[in-house]
Amino acid sequence: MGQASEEKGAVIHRYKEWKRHGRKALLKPAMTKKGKWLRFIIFAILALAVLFIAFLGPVLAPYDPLATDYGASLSPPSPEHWFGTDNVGRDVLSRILYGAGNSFSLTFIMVAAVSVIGTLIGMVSGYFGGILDTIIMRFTDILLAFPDTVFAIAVVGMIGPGLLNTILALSLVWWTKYARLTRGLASVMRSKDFIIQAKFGGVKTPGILFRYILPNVLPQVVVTMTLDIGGMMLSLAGLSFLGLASQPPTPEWGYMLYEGKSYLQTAPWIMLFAGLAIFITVLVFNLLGDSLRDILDPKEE
Amino acid sequence: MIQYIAKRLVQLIAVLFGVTFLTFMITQAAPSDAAQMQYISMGTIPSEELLEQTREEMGLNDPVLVQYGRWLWNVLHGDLGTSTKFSESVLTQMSRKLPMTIELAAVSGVIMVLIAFPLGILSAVKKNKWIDYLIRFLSFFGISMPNFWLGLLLMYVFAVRLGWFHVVSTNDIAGIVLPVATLTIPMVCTYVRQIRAAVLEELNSNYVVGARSRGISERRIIFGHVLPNALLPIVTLIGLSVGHLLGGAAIIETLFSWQGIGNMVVEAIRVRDYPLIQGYVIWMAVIYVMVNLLVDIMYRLLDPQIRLRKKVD
Amino acid sequence: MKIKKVMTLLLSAVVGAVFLAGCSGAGTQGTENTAVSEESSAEENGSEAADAGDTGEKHVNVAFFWITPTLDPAVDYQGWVTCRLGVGEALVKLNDDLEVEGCVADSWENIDDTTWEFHIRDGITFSNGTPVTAEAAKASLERAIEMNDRAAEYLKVDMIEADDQTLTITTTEPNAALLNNLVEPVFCIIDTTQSEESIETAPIGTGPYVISSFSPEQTVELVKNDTYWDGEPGLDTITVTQIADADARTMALQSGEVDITNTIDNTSVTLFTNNSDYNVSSIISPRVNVAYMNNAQSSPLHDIELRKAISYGVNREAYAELIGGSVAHSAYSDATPFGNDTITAYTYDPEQAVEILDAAGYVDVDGDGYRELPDGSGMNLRYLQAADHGSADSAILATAVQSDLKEIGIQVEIFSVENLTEYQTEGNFDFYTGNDNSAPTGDPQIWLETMYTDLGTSGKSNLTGFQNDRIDEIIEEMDTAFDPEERYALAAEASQILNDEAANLFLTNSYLNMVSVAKVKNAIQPVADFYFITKDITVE
Repeated sequence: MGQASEEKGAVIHRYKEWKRHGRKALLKPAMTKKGKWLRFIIFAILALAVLFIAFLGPVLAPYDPLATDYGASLSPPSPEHWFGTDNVGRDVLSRILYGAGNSFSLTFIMVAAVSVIGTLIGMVSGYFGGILDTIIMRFTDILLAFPDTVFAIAVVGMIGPGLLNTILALSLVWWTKYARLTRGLASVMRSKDFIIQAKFGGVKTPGILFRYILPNVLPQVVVTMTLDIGGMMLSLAGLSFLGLASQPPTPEWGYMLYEGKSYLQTAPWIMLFAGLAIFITVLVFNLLGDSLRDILDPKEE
Repeated sequence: MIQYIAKRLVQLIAVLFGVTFLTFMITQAAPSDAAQMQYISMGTIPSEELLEQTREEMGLNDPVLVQYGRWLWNVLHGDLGTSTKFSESVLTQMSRKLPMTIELAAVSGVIMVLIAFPLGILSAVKKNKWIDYLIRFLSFFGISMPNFWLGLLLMYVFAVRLGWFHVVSTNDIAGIVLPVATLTIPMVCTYVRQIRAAVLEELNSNYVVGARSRGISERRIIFGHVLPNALLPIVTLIGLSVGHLLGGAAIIETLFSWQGIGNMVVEAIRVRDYPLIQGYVIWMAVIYVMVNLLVDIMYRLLDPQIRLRKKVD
Repeated sequence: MKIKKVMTLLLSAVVGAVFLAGCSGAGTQGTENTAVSEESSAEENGSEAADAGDTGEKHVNVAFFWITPTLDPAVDYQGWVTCRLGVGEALVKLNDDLEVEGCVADSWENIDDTTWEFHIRDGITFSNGTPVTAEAAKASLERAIEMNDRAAEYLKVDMIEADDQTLTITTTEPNAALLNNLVEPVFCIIDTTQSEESIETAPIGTGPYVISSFSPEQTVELVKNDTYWDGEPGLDTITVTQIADADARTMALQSGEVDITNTIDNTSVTLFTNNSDYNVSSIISPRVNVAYMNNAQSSPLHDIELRKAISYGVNREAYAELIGGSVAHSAYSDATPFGNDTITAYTYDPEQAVEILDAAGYVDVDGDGYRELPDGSGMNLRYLQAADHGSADSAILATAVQSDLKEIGIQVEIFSVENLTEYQTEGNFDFYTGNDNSAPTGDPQIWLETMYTDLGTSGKSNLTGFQNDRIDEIIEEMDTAFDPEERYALAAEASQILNDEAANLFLTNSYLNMVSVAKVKNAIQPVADFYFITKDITVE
């Protein structure tokens, strides 16, 4: 009796399982795929909107971001100044709009630079292997021995604060991430049939790297890049906040936070809006990167 | 195993050697050399001859590699030089402040694990249920927020307005809550997502499908098989998180006046205290590398499969 | 199944708690925008005060912006902290009119140009009970001179003699500033029979408070000195904490962690003024906000006409409004008694500035809105800006000067630097920021000598390349001008020369603010900022 009921239970369970998984198997993929694309498109539109604002910032800004007005310093948000004014009476909205351009172009330049350099080194290292690979990887080991913020702080500390130095400092460690990523992919690929065939077919090494390997590592790289835009922006803002990056009076979001910190209580709008600008931008790009990964890298599902 | 540890130790020494070399070379990139800094810290403008004489005395005219060797020799003997800002040895400064940073990092690390683990597992187990969506959605908020901004908001609300905790961090509970929260929240959000991914991967593996079809209860599958296996990638994550904890501490410590080495190095940068910056970098790297070595060894101990796979290869 | 449910529930509770914490933070912040209310923080402080009252012991928590690695007054500027703590006292001290008063010594006499005689107060003891004799004071002074170059320069001592309670100092040359210079905290009289180690952690002085424990750069615990020579100190115990950041000091005061603190930004002080829960003590300090101008040949500012135009072109009144303080008349702050009222100072007059520029040939040739140099080449002035003790003032001033000079067609580029000294020593600047104490010991000489001449050993801070024969003469005259009035007159003359030469942009005299919670009485910001904790501070 005991055995019979156990068997019966198992059968019912299996039936339930089949129902659950079977239904999922029938319905889920199509739904998910559509959902994934929908999600991606929504976030892509949001990201484009943010970019649009960033590049049209100077046109949209109601005031000169550098024009001071002592009489109107630290005035709260009003119809004239939607986001209020800062400690020397500059319009916070205009500074955020102009700052968008600065913060963005810097982040993009950095992400582009580190990903191109990192990917190239990674591909070469992974494809050729051998001693070159060992040297490059040991070098990244050394760089990775420093926690990234720590290294950036140290480099800025030595060569002196400033935007350019900060970018340099962050880039010095950041490329290793891309190098390791593409190196892993490339080293797997080099023994794949289609590569070997191409080699026999007389394709030269650069051709193999760029025509065969690059397209295969690109999706992963693009996903990482999108996610890094947020990460870079936060790192840059962090260093700006420590007073190590931007120079006044350049409008830049991280630096605005640094300036606004002293007015957290007396003029909270400076910090609030600059912080929100960073937060929203990073959020949008993180969501975009995540949805892109769901499409390009289905491993997780 | 012992062989593996020995091999890793040799690698570690090579990496640390590289770390010291890199640290030393960064100093060479600085616009002023040690001789100039010595005079600057005294507030004097030295003449060119005097400067040259001092350089000769300090051995700054020797080849860079000779200087590096000499410096490394001192470092290996525990002599990291004298801080120009605090007029005491870098070692004294570090040994006073390092425990504070380690305390902050350790408490944050433990709390991070205690929160991120259950949430990540829950999110994976309840995949595509409302709780999973909620956790994932909120985790995006956490990773998109500048941590100092979060810290200031927390400080303003919980210390200034409500008076529950302290603005200035001390070793007591009221003092440590806010810096720990500020350090932990973005990390929890990052790791929840990664733990979720790790657990999901296990859930989709063949043995789980097999176990399911054999009718083993979901609960037993998760607690008996999935979690122990998912532990492995998570251990690696914890190793990596040490870097975030140490690096993030610089900003958090400055914000909450926490007298750790993060706060110290920001001050050191302000006044161009090169020996102190060097000491900081080396110590951070050593700690980080050591922790990751320990993690690797733990990983090995936990997972006999890896060894097997290596042998098959 | 049950376990799973319970777990789910528990976990969702944790999520909720964590993120609610985050959300409520943002939420409250949002409302703060529109409704400004101070009730909640006020209540906090009220209850804190009541708590403290229950114990019966009079205790306050004080925040300093700086606590040194050791407390040895002879090392670097560490004596400033020893002195602020109310532990160390010098032979003489400065009152709020920056005049010299007796302290450890109760009388003194200037025997001749090179001889000074001090009488050590009868019956005065160190906080450990040891009597302070002339011999003990001599040992303390000699230790400072031996250990600190600044101390040696200030006194120019030839010989110190001790006889009972009479201390005689002989100088190598006439040094009329000696009496004032003795107020410098490096000359705190401490018991040198202590071991060197205990001088570092708990120097024994003559002040109203005694160190009971010290952790470097963090906290100092103080207890009352029962044998204090000048009456009973008002508190039993004091905890002093280092809070380097001005905003953190403000917030710590509001959260009730701290009862007294100072050097709070002027904007933040508005949180405490007109609020009966706090006492605010503001004074004009001897500190002057200056935009130093490079007078050397290498800079366009070498041209006095350009410097004059710039001096007319900045709106000092507006700056004083922005960052708080008063309009600076010249090199010396209005807090000093050096005759600022007799000086003709610059006023804001952009038309005058434009006239001077046009006449001197600074015109906009290429039509970009900025004037070029008379030789037609571009002019973009480098302004080095450095933050001082976490205060935003120097950045605000730099931005404001840049903005005002743009109005008269002068292009300025700001460089925010942390390592100002390096750029200064390289002469790689046109302007640099300064918030400097114009009378560190209440005497005009040191400041003038170090900043505007290349005389003597102390003349090494003259980084702007300024040189003027009459100023050099004034310094020499000051060496032997023993009458304070005569010294003040000389200082006023120097001030006028500096204005006539448009040597630098003297912008504002800054405020020093001390804020304390209502229960604290007599927390007054001293004009000389190496004082802080006094015997008078007490709680109700």
